[in-house]
Amino acid sequence: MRNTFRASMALVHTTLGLVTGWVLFAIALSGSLSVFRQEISLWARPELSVTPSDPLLVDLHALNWLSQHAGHAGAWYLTAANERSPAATALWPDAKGHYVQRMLDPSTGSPDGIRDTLGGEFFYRFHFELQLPYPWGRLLAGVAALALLVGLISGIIIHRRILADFFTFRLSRGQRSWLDLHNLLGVAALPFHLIISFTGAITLGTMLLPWTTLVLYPHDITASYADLNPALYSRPASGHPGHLAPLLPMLKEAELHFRGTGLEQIYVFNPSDRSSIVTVVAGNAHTVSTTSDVITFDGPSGKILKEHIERRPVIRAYIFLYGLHVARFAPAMTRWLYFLSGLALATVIGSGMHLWCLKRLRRPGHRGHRIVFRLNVGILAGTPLAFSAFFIGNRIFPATMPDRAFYEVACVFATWGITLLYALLRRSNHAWPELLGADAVACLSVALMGPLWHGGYITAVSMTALALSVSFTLGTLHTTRKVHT
Amino acid sequence: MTWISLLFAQVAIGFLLFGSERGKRIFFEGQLTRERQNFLKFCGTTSLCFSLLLQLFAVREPVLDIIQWIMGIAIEIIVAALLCALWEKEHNRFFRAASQHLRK
Repeated sequence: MRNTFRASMALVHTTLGLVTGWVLFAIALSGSLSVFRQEISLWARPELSVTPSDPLLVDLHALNWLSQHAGHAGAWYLTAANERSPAATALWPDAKGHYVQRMLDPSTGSPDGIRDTLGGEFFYRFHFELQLPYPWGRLLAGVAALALLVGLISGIIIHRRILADFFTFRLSRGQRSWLDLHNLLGVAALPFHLIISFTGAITLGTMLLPWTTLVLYPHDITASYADLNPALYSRPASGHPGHLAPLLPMLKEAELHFRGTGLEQIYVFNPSDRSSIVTVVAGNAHTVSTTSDVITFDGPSGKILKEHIERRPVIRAYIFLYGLHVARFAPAMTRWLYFLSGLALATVIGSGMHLWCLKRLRRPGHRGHRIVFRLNVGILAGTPLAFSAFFIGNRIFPATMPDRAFYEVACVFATWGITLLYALLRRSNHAWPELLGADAVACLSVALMGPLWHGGYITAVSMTALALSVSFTLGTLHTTRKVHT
Repeated sequence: MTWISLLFAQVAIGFLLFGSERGKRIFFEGQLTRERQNFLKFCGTTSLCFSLLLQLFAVREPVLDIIQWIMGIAIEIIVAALLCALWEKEHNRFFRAASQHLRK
Protein backbone atom coordinates (compact mmCIF):
# COMPACT_ATOMS: atom_id res chain seq x y z
CA MET A 1 0.00 0.00 0.00
CA ARG A 2 1.12 3.54 -0.67
CA ASN A 3 1.42 5.95 2.22
CA THR A 4 -1.73 8.10 2.04
CA PHE A 5 -5.34 7.05 2.42
CA ARG A 6 -6.31 8.66 -0.90
CA ALA A 7 -3.48 6.82 -2.70
CA SER A 8 -4.65 3.55 -1.18
CA MET A 9 -8.16 4.23 -2.38
CA ALA A 10 -6.79 4.99 -5.86
CA LEU A 11 -5.12 1.59 -5.84
CA VAL A 12 -8.40 -0.07 -4.76
CA HIS A 13 -10.32 1.85 -7.46
CA THR A 14 -7.99 0.91 -10.32
CA THR A 15 -7.50 -2.70 -9.21
CA LEU A 16 -11.23 -3.34 -8.88
CA GLY A 17 -11.86 -1.62 -12.22
CA LEU A 18 -9.22 -3.73 -13.92
CA VAL A 19 -10.37 -7.02 -12.43
CA THR A 20 -14.15 -6.60 -12.79
CA GLY A 21 -14.41 -3.93 -15.52
CA TRP A 22 -15.12 -6.28 -18.43
CA VAL A 23 -17.85 -8.19 -16.57
CA LEU A 24 -19.34 -4.97 -15.19
CA PHE A 25 -19.46 -3.40 -18.65
CA ALA A 26 -21.46 -6.36 -20.03
CA ILE A 27 -23.69 -6.39 -16.93
CA ALA A 28 -24.40 -2.65 -17.19
CA LEU A 29 -25.19 -2.85 -20.90
CA SER A 30 -27.47 -5.88 -20.59
CA GLY A 31 -29.10 -4.33 -17.51
CA SER A 32 -29.90 -1.17 -19.48
CA LEU A 33 -31.53 -3.27 -22.19
CA SER A 34 -33.44 -5.42 -19.73
CA VAL A 35 -35.29 -2.31 -18.49
CA PHE A 36 -37.26 -2.80 -21.72
CA ARG A 37 -37.49 -6.56 -21.36
CA GLN A 38 -41.18 -6.80 -22.31
CA GLU A 39 -40.89 -4.38 -25.21
CA ILE A 40 -37.88 -6.26 -26.65
CA SER A 41 -39.78 -9.54 -26.24
CA LEU A 42 -42.68 -8.10 -28.25
CA TRP A 43 -40.29 -6.69 -30.89
CA ALA A 44 -38.73 -10.14 -31.19
CA ARG A 45 -42.14 -11.64 -32.01
CA PRO A 46 -43.58 -9.46 -34.79
CA GLU A 47 -46.23 -12.06 -35.64
CA LEU A 48 -47.88 -11.61 -32.22
CA SER A 49 -51.11 -9.60 -32.26
CA VAL A 50 -50.86 -7.08 -29.42
CA THR A 51 -54.32 -5.56 -29.38
CA PRO A 52 -55.03 -4.69 -25.73
CA SER A 53 -57.45 -7.07 -24.02
CA ASP A 54 -58.37 -8.03 -20.47
CA PRO A 55 -55.22 -9.63 -18.94
CA LEU A 56 -57.35 -12.11 -16.97
CA LEU A 57 -58.95 -13.42 -20.16
CA VAL A 58 -55.53 -13.68 -21.80
CA ASP A 59 -54.29 -15.75 -18.84
CA LEU A 60 -57.42 -17.88 -19.01
CA HIS A 61 -56.89 -18.59 -22.74
CA ALA A 62 -53.31 -19.59 -21.96
CA LEU A 63 -54.36 -21.91 -19.11
CA ASN A 64 -57.09 -23.47 -21.27
CA TRP A 65 -54.57 -24.18 -24.02
CA LEU A 66 -52.19 -25.72 -21.48
CA SER A 67 -54.97 -27.92 -20.07
CA GLN A 68 -55.67 -29.24 -23.58
CA HIS A 69 -52.06 -29.68 -24.73
CA ALA A 70 -50.00 -30.14 -21.58
CA GLY A 71 -52.60 -31.66 -19.25
CA HIS A 72 -50.30 -34.40 -18.02
CA ALA A 73 -47.34 -32.14 -17.29
CA GLY A 74 -46.29 -32.02 -13.63
CA ALA A 75 -46.66 -28.23 -13.46
CA TRP A 76 -47.41 -25.12 -15.50
CA TYR A 77 -45.65 -21.87 -14.70
CA LEU A 78 -47.37 -18.90 -16.29
CA THR A 79 -46.08 -15.32 -16.33
CA ALA A 80 -49.35 -13.43 -16.43
CA ALA A 81 -50.26 -10.86 -19.07
CA ASN A 82 -50.33 -7.20 -18.03
CA GLU A 83 -50.53 -3.72 -19.52
CA ARG A 84 -46.95 -3.79 -20.84
CA SER A 85 -46.93 -7.39 -21.99
CA PRO A 86 -50.34 -8.26 -23.45
CA ALA A 87 -49.41 -11.93 -23.90
CA ALA A 88 -48.73 -14.57 -21.24
CA THR A 89 -45.54 -16.66 -21.22
CA ALA A 90 -45.74 -20.29 -20.15
CA LEU A 91 -43.11 -22.77 -18.97
CA TRP A 92 -43.95 -26.46 -18.71
CA PRO A 93 -42.19 -29.84 -18.91
CA ASP A 94 -42.82 -31.83 -22.11
CA ALA A 95 -43.26 -35.62 -22.28
CA LYS A 96 -39.47 -36.13 -22.05
CA GLY A 97 -39.23 -33.88 -19.00
CA HIS A 98 -37.52 -31.03 -20.87
CA TYR A 99 -38.85 -27.61 -20.00
CA VAL A 100 -40.46 -25.65 -22.83
CA GLN A 101 -40.88 -21.87 -22.57
CA ARG A 102 -43.19 -20.13 -25.07
CA MET A 103 -45.15 -16.95 -25.37
CA LEU A 104 -48.82 -17.70 -25.99
CA ASP A 105 -51.15 -15.88 -28.34
CA PRO A 106 -53.43 -13.53 -26.32
CA SER A 107 -56.60 -14.45 -28.24
CA THR A 108 -56.15 -18.22 -28.67
CA GLY A 109 -53.66 -19.11 -25.93
CA SER A 110 -51.68 -21.15 -28.45
CA PRO A 111 -47.93 -20.81 -29.14
CA ASP A 112 -48.39 -21.95 -32.78
CA GLY A 113 -47.02 -19.51 -35.32
CA ILE A 114 -45.13 -17.49 -32.70
CA ARG A 115 -41.39 -17.78 -33.12
CA ASP A 116 -39.29 -19.48 -30.46
CA THR A 117 -37.09 -16.74 -29.00
CA LEU A 118 -35.98 -15.54 -25.59
CA GLY A 119 -36.50 -11.90 -26.58
CA GLY A 120 -35.80 -9.46 -23.75
CA GLU A 121 -35.58 -12.39 -21.34
CA PHE A 122 -32.08 -13.09 -22.71
CA PHE A 123 -30.75 -9.68 -21.59
CA TYR A 124 -32.56 -9.92 -18.25
CA ARG A 125 -31.09 -13.36 -17.47
CA PHE A 126 -27.68 -12.45 -18.82
CA HIS A 127 -27.59 -9.38 -16.56
CA PHE A 128 -27.34 -11.52 -13.41
CA GLU A 129 -26.55 -15.05 -14.63
CA LEU A 130 -24.05 -14.22 -17.39
CA GLN A 131 -25.21 -17.36 -19.21
CA LEU A 132 -23.25 -19.43 -16.68
CA PRO A 133 -24.63 -22.40 -14.71
CA TYR A 134 -26.08 -21.85 -11.23
CA PRO A 135 -24.59 -20.56 -8.92
CA TRP A 136 -21.47 -19.30 -10.77
CA GLY A 137 -23.11 -16.61 -12.88
CA ARG A 138 -25.05 -15.14 -9.98
CA LEU A 139 -22.04 -15.33 -7.72
CA LEU A 140 -19.89 -13.51 -10.27
CA ALA A 141 -22.60 -10.87 -10.80
CA GLY A 142 -22.93 -10.42 -7.01
CA VAL A 143 -19.17 -9.98 -6.57
CA ALA A 144 -19.14 -7.54 -9.52
CA ALA A 145 -21.98 -5.50 -7.94
CA LEU A 146 -20.09 -5.31 -4.66
CA ALA A 147 -16.90 -4.33 -6.52
CA LEU A 148 -18.85 -1.58 -8.31
CA LEU A 149 -20.10 -0.24 -4.99
CA VAL A 150 -16.58 -0.21 -3.50
CA GLY A 151 -15.25 1.26 -6.75
CA LEU A 152 -17.79 4.10 -6.60
CA ILE A 153 -17.02 4.93 -2.96
CA SER A 154 -13.26 4.83 -3.55
CA GLY A 155 -13.82 6.94 -6.68
CA ILE A 156 -15.58 9.62 -4.62
CA ILE A 157 -12.66 9.63 -2.17
CA ILE A 158 -9.95 9.96 -4.84
CA HIS A 159 -11.78 12.65 -6.83
CA ARG A 160 -10.13 15.70 -5.21
CA ARG A 161 -12.02 18.44 -7.09
CA ILE A 162 -15.47 16.86 -7.12
CA LEU A 163 -17.28 20.23 -6.75
CA ALA A 164 -14.79 22.46 -8.56
CA ASP A 165 -14.81 20.19 -11.63
CA PHE A 166 -18.57 19.65 -11.54
CA PHE A 167 -19.40 20.80 -15.09
CA THR A 168 -15.96 20.13 -16.53
CA PHE A 169 -15.70 18.30 -19.83
CA ARG A 170 -12.89 19.44 -22.11
CA LEU A 171 -13.04 18.23 -25.70
CA SER A 172 -10.03 17.14 -27.82
CA ARG A 173 -7.58 16.90 -24.91
CA GLY A 174 -6.75 13.18 -25.21
CA GLN A 175 -6.36 11.48 -21.85
CA ARG A 176 -7.73 14.56 -20.05
CA SER A 177 -10.99 14.34 -22.05
CA TRP A 178 -11.40 10.67 -21.11
CA LEU A 179 -10.86 11.52 -17.43
CA ASP A 180 -13.39 14.37 -17.70
CA LEU A 181 -15.94 12.04 -19.30
CA HIS A 182 -15.33 9.39 -16.62
CA ASN A 183 -15.74 11.97 -13.82
CA LEU A 184 -18.68 13.84 -15.34
CA LEU A 185 -20.83 10.75 -15.97
CA GLY A 186 -19.73 9.20 -12.69
CA VAL A 187 -20.60 12.27 -10.60
CA ALA A 188 -23.75 13.45 -12.41
CA ALA A 189 -25.46 10.06 -12.17
CA LEU A 190 -23.78 9.12 -8.87
CA PRO A 191 -27.05 8.63 -6.91
CA PHE A 192 -28.29 6.22 -9.59
CA HIS A 193 -24.95 4.37 -9.70
CA LEU A 194 -24.90 4.02 -5.90
CA ILE A 195 -28.53 2.87 -5.73
CA ILE A 196 -28.16 0.35 -8.55
CA SER A 197 -24.90 -1.15 -7.26
CA PHE A 198 -26.14 -1.33 -3.65
CA THR A 199 -29.51 -2.85 -4.59
CA GLY A 200 -27.75 -5.18 -7.05
CA ALA A 201 -25.50 -6.49 -4.28
CA ILE A 202 -28.50 -6.79 -1.91
CA THR A 203 -30.50 -8.67 -4.56
CA LEU A 204 -27.75 -11.30 -4.76
CA GLY A 205 -27.06 -11.05 -1.02
CA THR A 206 -27.77 -14.72 -0.32
CA MET A 207 -25.09 -15.63 -2.87
CA LEU A 208 -22.52 -13.37 -1.22
CA LEU A 209 -23.45 -14.23 2.39
CA PRO A 210 -25.01 -17.72 2.44
CA TRP A 211 -23.85 -18.56 5.97
CA THR A 212 -26.78 -17.04 7.89
CA THR A 213 -29.22 -19.32 6.10
CA LEU A 214 -26.92 -22.30 6.58
CA VAL A 215 -26.73 -21.62 10.32
CA LEU A 216 -30.49 -21.12 10.73
CA TYR A 217 -31.47 -24.06 8.51
CA PRO A 218 -28.58 -26.52 8.90
CA HIS A 219 -30.48 -29.64 7.84
CA ASP A 220 -33.06 -28.50 5.30
CA ILE A 221 -32.36 -25.38 3.25
CA THR A 222 -35.76 -25.66 1.51
CA ALA A 223 -37.39 -24.86 4.87
CA SER A 224 -36.04 -21.31 4.46
CA TYR A 225 -38.03 -20.95 1.23
CA ALA A 226 -41.20 -22.05 3.02
CA ASP A 227 -40.59 -19.45 5.74
CA LEU A 228 -39.91 -16.75 3.18
CA ASN A 229 -43.05 -17.57 1.19
CA PRO A 230 -45.50 -19.19 3.63
CA ALA A 231 -48.27 -19.46 1.04
CA LEU A 232 -46.12 -21.25 -1.55
CA TYR A 233 -47.68 -24.56 -0.65
CA SER A 234 -47.00 -27.89 -2.33
CA ARG A 235 -48.37 -31.40 -1.93
CA PRO A 236 -47.58 -34.63 -3.75
CA ALA A 237 -49.83 -35.98 -6.51
CA SER A 238 -52.43 -38.45 -5.21
CA GLY A 239 -52.24 -40.68 -8.29
CA HIS A 240 -56.00 -40.35 -8.88
CA PRO A 241 -57.19 -38.37 -11.92
CA GLY A 242 -58.97 -35.11 -11.22
CA HIS A 243 -60.16 -31.90 -12.86
CA LEU A 244 -59.44 -28.28 -12.16
CA ALA A 245 -62.34 -26.11 -11.03
CA PRO A 246 -63.06 -23.11 -13.32
CA LEU A 247 -59.94 -20.94 -13.20
CA LEU A 248 -61.46 -17.53 -13.91
CA PRO A 249 -63.22 -17.22 -10.49
CA MET A 250 -59.92 -18.14 -8.77
CA LEU A 251 -58.01 -15.49 -10.72
CA LYS A 252 -60.71 -12.89 -10.01
CA GLU A 253 -60.69 -13.69 -6.31
CA ALA A 254 -56.89 -13.45 -6.19
CA GLU A 255 -57.02 -10.10 -7.97
CA LEU A 256 -59.56 -8.87 -5.42
CA HIS A 257 -57.33 -9.93 -2.52
CA PHE A 258 -54.26 -8.23 -4.02
CA ARG A 259 -56.06 -4.86 -4.08
CA GLY A 260 -55.24 -3.73 -7.61
CA THR A 261 -51.60 -4.81 -7.85
CA GLY A 262 -52.47 -7.21 -10.68
CA LEU A 263 -51.19 -10.76 -11.15
CA GLU A 264 -47.56 -11.62 -11.80
CA GLN A 265 -47.32 -15.41 -11.84
CA ILE A 266 -49.76 -18.33 -11.93
CA TYR A 267 -48.48 -21.80 -11.06
CA VAL A 268 -50.59 -24.94 -11.46
CA PHE A 269 -49.14 -28.09 -9.91
CA ASN A 270 -50.35 -31.58 -10.91
CA PRO A 271 -53.16 -30.13 -13.07
CA SER A 272 -54.71 -33.51 -13.99
CA ASP A 273 -54.55 -34.95 -10.48
CA ARG A 274 -57.11 -34.91 -7.66
CA SER A 275 -54.67 -33.02 -5.44
CA SER A 276 -53.89 -30.24 -7.91
CA ILE A 277 -53.17 -26.77 -6.58
CA VAL A 278 -53.20 -23.31 -8.16
CA THR A 279 -50.86 -20.64 -6.80
CA VAL A 280 -51.23 -16.99 -7.76
CA VAL A 281 -48.49 -14.42 -7.06
CA ALA A 282 -49.39 -10.72 -6.96
CA GLY A 283 -48.01 -8.22 -9.44
CA ASN A 284 -46.55 -4.87 -8.51
CA ALA A 285 -48.49 -2.30 -10.47
CA HIS A 286 -48.35 1.08 -8.64
CA THR A 287 -45.80 -0.05 -6.01
CA VAL A 288 -42.01 0.21 -5.99
CA SER A 289 -41.66 -3.09 -4.11
CA THR A 290 -41.90 -6.37 -5.93
CA THR A 291 -44.86 -7.67 -3.96
CA SER A 292 -44.63 -11.19 -2.64
CA ASP A 293 -48.30 -11.62 -1.76
CA VAL A 294 -49.36 -15.16 -2.61
CA ILE A 295 -52.63 -17.12 -2.61
CA THR A 296 -52.84 -20.90 -3.08
CA PHE A 297 -56.12 -22.53 -4.16
CA ASP A 298 -57.18 -26.14 -4.00
CA GLY A 299 -57.38 -27.08 -7.72
CA PRO A 300 -60.49 -29.34 -7.79
CA SER A 301 -62.64 -27.20 -5.45
CA GLY A 302 -61.23 -23.69 -6.11
CA LYS A 303 -61.16 -22.93 -2.35
CA ILE A 304 -58.34 -20.93 -0.78
CA LEU A 305 -55.83 -23.20 0.96
CA LYS A 306 -53.30 -20.59 2.05
CA GLU A 307 -52.90 -16.85 1.74
CA HIS A 308 -49.97 -14.66 2.62
CA ILE A 309 -49.91 -10.87 2.48
CA GLU A 310 -46.38 -9.69 3.22
CA ARG A 311 -46.13 -7.50 6.36
CA ARG A 312 -42.74 -8.49 7.84
CA PRO A 313 -40.61 -5.30 7.91
CA VAL A 314 -37.27 -6.86 6.94
CA ILE A 315 -38.75 -8.67 3.95
CA ARG A 316 -40.68 -5.54 2.97
CA ALA A 317 -37.39 -3.59 3.07
CA TYR A 318 -35.75 -6.27 0.92
CA ILE A 319 -38.51 -6.33 -1.71
CA PHE A 320 -38.46 -2.52 -1.79
CA LEU A 321 -34.71 -2.50 -2.57
CA TYR A 322 -35.17 -5.32 -5.07
CA GLY A 323 -38.05 -3.43 -6.68
CA LEU A 324 -35.89 -0.32 -6.93
CA HIS A 325 -33.30 -2.34 -8.85
CA VAL A 326 -35.60 -4.11 -11.31
CA ALA A 327 -37.87 -1.06 -11.81
CA ARG A 328 -40.98 -3.07 -12.65
CA PHE A 329 -43.02 -0.30 -11.06
CA ALA A 330 -41.66 2.34 -13.38
CA PRO A 331 -43.74 4.27 -15.89
CA ALA A 332 -42.31 4.81 -19.39
CA MET A 333 -40.38 7.98 -18.58
CA THR A 334 -38.67 6.49 -15.53
CA ARG A 335 -37.72 3.47 -17.64
CA TRP A 336 -36.06 5.71 -20.19
CA LEU A 337 -34.20 7.48 -17.37
CA TYR A 338 -33.08 4.08 -16.02
CA PHE A 339 -31.97 3.11 -19.53
CA LEU A 340 -29.98 6.32 -20.07
CA SER A 341 -28.44 6.16 -16.59
CA GLY A 342 -27.50 2.52 -17.27
CA LEU A 343 -25.77 3.57 -20.49
CA ALA A 344 -24.01 6.30 -18.50
CA LEU A 345 -22.79 3.64 -16.06
CA ALA A 346 -21.52 1.50 -18.94
CA THR A 347 -19.70 4.58 -20.30
CA VAL A 348 -18.16 5.30 -16.89
CA ILE A 349 -16.85 1.74 -16.69
CA GLY A 350 -15.66 1.76 -20.32
CA SER A 351 -13.93 5.13 -20.05
CA GLY A 352 -12.26 4.02 -16.81
CA MET A 353 -10.91 0.89 -18.50
CA HIS A 354 -9.68 2.89 -21.49
CA LEU A 355 -8.08 5.48 -19.23
CA TRP A 356 -6.17 2.77 -17.34
CA CYS A 357 -4.59 1.64 -20.59
CA LEU A 358 -3.90 5.14 -21.95
CA LYS A 359 -1.95 6.01 -18.81
CA ARG A 360 0.17 2.89 -18.97
CA LEU A 361 0.78 2.81 -22.71
CA ARG A 362 2.63 6.12 -22.49
CA ARG A 363 5.39 4.27 -20.67
CA PRO A 364 7.80 2.01 -22.60
CA GLY A 365 6.16 -1.13 -24.03
CA HIS A 366 4.77 -3.68 -21.61
CA ARG A 367 3.20 -6.74 -23.21
CA GLY A 368 0.57 -7.13 -20.48
CA HIS A 369 -0.66 -3.55 -20.94
CA ARG A 370 -0.88 -4.01 -24.70
CA ILE A 371 -2.90 -7.22 -24.31
CA VAL A 372 -5.29 -5.52 -21.86
CA PHE A 373 -5.65 -2.59 -24.27
CA ARG A 374 -6.54 -4.92 -27.14
CA LEU A 375 -8.96 -6.91 -24.98
CA ASN A 376 -10.54 -3.62 -23.93
CA VAL A 377 -11.19 -2.81 -27.58
CA GLY A 378 -12.74 -6.26 -28.02
CA ILE A 379 -15.01 -5.89 -24.99
CA LEU A 380 -15.98 -2.23 -25.35
CA ALA A 381 -16.72 -2.36 -29.06
CA GLY A 382 -17.55 -6.08 -29.18
CA THR A 383 -20.31 -6.21 -26.55
CA PRO A 384 -22.68 -3.83 -28.40
CA LEU A 385 -21.92 -5.77 -31.60
CA ALA A 386 -22.68 -9.10 -29.92
CA PHE A 387 -25.95 -7.77 -28.48
CA SER A 388 -26.92 -6.35 -31.89
CA ALA A 389 -26.25 -9.82 -33.33
CA PHE A 390 -29.05 -11.13 -31.11
CA PHE A 391 -31.55 -8.72 -32.68
CA ILE A 392 -30.28 -9.41 -36.20
CA GLY A 393 -30.35 -13.18 -35.63
CA ASN A 394 -33.92 -12.86 -34.41
CA ARG A 395 -35.00 -11.45 -37.76
CA ILE A 396 -32.71 -13.48 -40.04
CA PHE A 397 -33.36 -17.02 -38.77
CA PRO A 398 -36.56 -18.57 -40.20
CA ALA A 399 -39.50 -18.31 -37.78
CA THR A 400 -40.08 -22.08 -37.81
CA MET A 401 -36.41 -23.07 -37.43
CA PRO A 402 -35.99 -25.70 -34.71
CA ASP A 403 -34.05 -24.55 -31.61
CA ARG A 404 -33.90 -21.01 -32.96
CA ALA A 405 -33.83 -19.53 -29.43
CA PHE A 406 -30.60 -21.44 -28.83
CA TYR A 407 -29.07 -20.25 -32.11
CA GLU A 408 -29.95 -16.62 -31.36
CA VAL A 409 -27.99 -16.84 -28.11
CA ALA A 410 -25.19 -18.73 -29.89
CA CYS A 411 -25.03 -15.81 -32.34
CA VAL A 412 -24.23 -13.45 -29.46
CA PHE A 413 -21.36 -15.51 -28.12
CA ALA A 414 -19.96 -16.36 -31.58
CA THR A 415 -19.88 -12.64 -32.46
CA TRP A 416 -18.30 -11.83 -29.13
CA GLY A 417 -15.62 -14.49 -29.57
CA ILE A 418 -14.80 -13.37 -33.12
CA THR A 419 -14.62 -9.73 -32.03
CA LEU A 420 -12.25 -10.51 -29.15
CA LEU A 421 -10.03 -12.56 -31.42
CA TYR A 422 -10.04 -9.82 -34.04
CA ALA A 423 -9.16 -7.18 -31.44
CA LEU A 424 -6.33 -9.34 -30.10
CA LEU A 425 -4.79 -9.90 -33.52
CA ARG A 426 -5.37 -6.49 -35.13
CA ARG A 427 -3.45 -3.33 -34.22
CA SER A 428 -5.61 -1.47 -31.73
CA ASN A 429 -5.56 1.89 -33.52
CA HIS A 430 -7.06 0.11 -36.56
CA ALA A 431 -9.35 -2.19 -34.55
CA TRP A 432 -11.12 0.76 -32.85
CA PRO A 433 -12.56 2.40 -36.00
CA GLU A 434 -13.25 -0.95 -37.67
CA LEU A 435 -15.19 -2.41 -34.75
CA LEU A 436 -17.01 0.86 -34.04
CA GLY A 437 -17.95 0.93 -37.73
CA ALA A 438 -19.27 -2.62 -37.41
CA ASP A 439 -21.31 -1.48 -34.36
CA ALA A 440 -22.76 1.40 -36.39
CA VAL A 441 -23.73 -0.90 -39.27
CA ALA A 442 -25.20 -3.52 -36.90
CA CYS A 443 -27.31 -0.92 -35.05
CA LEU A 444 -28.48 0.55 -38.35
CA SER A 445 -29.52 -2.94 -39.47
CA VAL A 446 -31.53 -3.39 -36.26
CA ALA A 447 -33.18 0.00 -36.83
CA LEU A 448 -34.18 -0.93 -40.37
CA MET A 449 -35.53 -4.35 -39.36
CA GLY A 450 -38.64 -2.87 -37.77
CA PRO A 451 -40.48 -0.22 -39.78
CA LEU A 452 -39.74 3.18 -38.22
CA TRP A 453 -43.27 4.41 -38.84
CA HIS A 454 -44.98 1.40 -37.17
CA GLY A 455 -45.48 3.20 -33.86
CA GLY A 456 -45.22 1.96 -30.26
CA TYR A 457 -42.41 -0.29 -29.14
CA ILE A 458 -41.22 -1.16 -32.68
CA THR A 459 -40.54 2.51 -33.47
CA ALA A 460 -38.94 2.94 -30.02
CA VAL A 461 -36.52 0.02 -30.63
CA SER A 462 -35.73 1.29 -34.14
CA MET A 463 -35.18 4.88 -33.02
CA THR A 464 -32.94 3.78 -30.14
CA ALA A 465 -30.91 1.59 -32.51
CA LEU A 466 -30.69 4.51 -34.94
CA ALA A 467 -29.47 6.88 -32.21
CA LEU A 468 -26.85 4.32 -31.15
CA SER A 469 -25.83 3.88 -34.79
CA VAL A 470 -25.29 7.64 -35.13
CA SER A 471 -23.18 7.64 -31.91
CA PHE A 472 -21.06 4.75 -33.18
CA THR A 473 -20.65 6.49 -36.56
CA LEU A 474 -19.35 9.61 -34.79
CA GLY A 475 -16.98 7.38 -32.79
CA THR A 476 -15.82 5.69 -36.02
CA LEU A 477 -15.15 9.05 -37.72
CA HIS A 478 -13.27 10.33 -34.67
CA THR A 479 -11.06 7.25 -34.34
CA THR A 480 -10.45 7.07 -38.13
CA ARG A 481 -9.29 10.70 -38.08
CA LYS A 482 -6.88 9.80 -35.27
CA VAL A 483 -5.43 6.90 -37.30
CA HIS A 484 -4.74 9.19 -40.26
CA THR A 485 -3.16 12.00 -38.22
CA MET B 1 -41.01 14.70 -13.93
CA THR B 2 -43.52 17.56 -14.01
CA TRP B 3 -42.89 20.39 -16.49
CA ILE B 4 -42.70 23.07 -13.79
CA SER B 5 -40.21 21.06 -11.77
CA LEU B 6 -38.15 20.47 -14.92
CA LEU B 7 -38.21 24.20 -15.68
CA PHE B 8 -36.97 25.12 -12.21
CA ALA B 9 -34.32 22.42 -12.39
CA GLN B 10 -33.05 23.85 -15.67
CA VAL B 11 -32.93 27.34 -14.21
CA ALA B 12 -31.09 25.93 -11.18
CA ILE B 13 -28.54 24.11 -13.33
CA GLY B 14 -28.06 27.32 -15.31
CA PHE B 15 -27.33 29.31 -12.12
CA LEU B 16 -25.02 26.60 -10.77
CA LEU B 17 -23.20 26.42 -14.10
CA PHE B 18 -22.62 30.19 -14.24
CA GLY B 19 -21.53 30.17 -10.61
CA SER B 20 -19.13 27.23 -11.02
CA GLU B 21 -15.38 27.55 -11.57
CA ARG B 22 -15.85 26.20 -15.08
CA GLY B 23 -18.66 28.65 -15.88
CA LYS B 24 -16.66 31.54 -14.43
CA ARG B 25 -13.71 30.71 -16.70
CA ILE B 26 -15.77 30.18 -19.87
CA PHE B 27 -18.62 32.67 -19.68
CA PHE B 28 -17.03 35.47 -17.62
CA GLU B 29 -13.38 34.87 -18.60
CA GLY B 30 -12.53 34.68 -14.90
CA GLN B 31 -13.94 38.18 -14.22
CA LEU B 32 -16.58 37.19 -11.65
CA THR B 33 -16.21 38.27 -8.03
CA ARG B 34 -16.44 35.70 -5.25
CA GLU B 35 -19.63 37.38 -3.91
CA ARG B 36 -21.40 37.20 -7.27
CA GLN B 37 -20.28 33.62 -7.73
CA ASN B 38 -21.66 32.72 -4.29
CA PHE B 39 -24.91 34.54 -5.09
CA LEU B 40 -25.32 32.52 -8.30
CA LYS B 41 -24.65 29.31 -6.38
CA PHE B 42 -27.22 30.32 -3.75
CA CYS B 43 -29.85 31.02 -6.43
CA GLY B 44 -29.05 27.68 -8.08
CA THR B 45 -29.33 25.73 -4.84
CA THR B 46 -32.63 27.46 -3.92
CA SER B 47 -34.11 26.77 -7.37
CA LEU B 48 -32.97 23.15 -7.13
CA CYS B 49 -34.66 22.71 -3.74
CA PHE B 50 -37.80 24.38 -5.10
CA SER B 51 -37.74 22.06 -8.12
CA LEU B 52 -37.55 19.03 -5.80
CA LEU B 53 -40.44 20.35 -3.71
CA LEU B 54 -42.56 20.86 -6.81
CA GLN B 55 -41.75 17.33 -7.92
CA LEU B 56 -42.72 15.97 -4.49
CA PHE B 57 -46.04 17.78 -4.62
CA ALA B 58 -46.85 16.03 -7.91
CA VAL B 59 -49.61 13.46 -7.89
CA ARG B 60 -47.57 10.23 -7.79
CA GLU B 61 -45.60 8.41 -5.10
CA PRO B 62 -42.77 10.34 -3.36
CA VAL B 63 -40.21 7.57 -3.99
CA LEU B 64 -40.98 7.52 -7.69
CA ASP B 65 -40.89 11.30 -7.85
CA ILE B 66 -37.47 11.48 -6.17
CA ILE B 67 -36.05 8.77 -8.45
CA GLN B 68 -37.30 10.60 -11.54
CA TRP B 69 -35.99 13.91 -10.24
CA ILE B 70 -32.50 12.56 -9.44
CA MET B 71 -32.13 10.93 -12.83
CA GLY B 72 -33.57 13.97 -14.63
CA ILE B 73 -31.07 16.25 -12.88
CA ALA B 74 -28.21 13.94 -13.88
CA ILE B 75 -29.14 14.29 -17.54
CA GLU B 76 -29.43 18.07 -17.19
CA ILE B 77 -25.94 18.25 -15.65
CA ILE B 78 -24.49 16.16 -18.48
CA VAL B 79 -26.22 18.27 -21.14
CA ALA B 80 -25.01 21.48 -19.44
CA ALA B 81 -21.43 20.20 -19.35
CA LEU B 82 -21.62 19.18 -23.03
CA LEU B 83 -22.99 22.59 -24.03
CA CYS B 84 -20.21 24.21 -22.03
CA ALA B 85 -17.58 22.12 -23.82
CA LEU B 86 -19.03 22.98 -27.24
CA TRP B 87 -19.27 26.68 -26.30
CA GLU B 88 -15.63 26.66 -25.21
CA LYS B 89 -14.52 24.95 -28.42
CA GLU B 90 -16.43 27.36 -30.67
CA HIS B 91 -15.36 30.34 -28.56
CA ASN B 92 -11.68 29.34 -28.80
CA ARG B 93 -11.99 28.73 -32.53
CA PHE B 94 -13.61 32.15 -33.05
CA PHE B 95 -10.96 34.00 -31.05
CA ARG B 96 -8.14 32.05 -32.71
CA ALA B 97 -9.52 33.00 -36.12
CA ALA B 98 -10.00 36.61 -35.03
CA SER B 99 -6.45 36.92 -33.69
CA GLN B 100 -5.04 35.37 -36.87
CA HIS B 101 -7.07 37.85 -38.92
CA LEU B 102 -5.79 40.79 -36.84
CA ARG B 103 -2.19 39.58 -37.16
CA LYS B 104 -2.54 39.59 -40.96
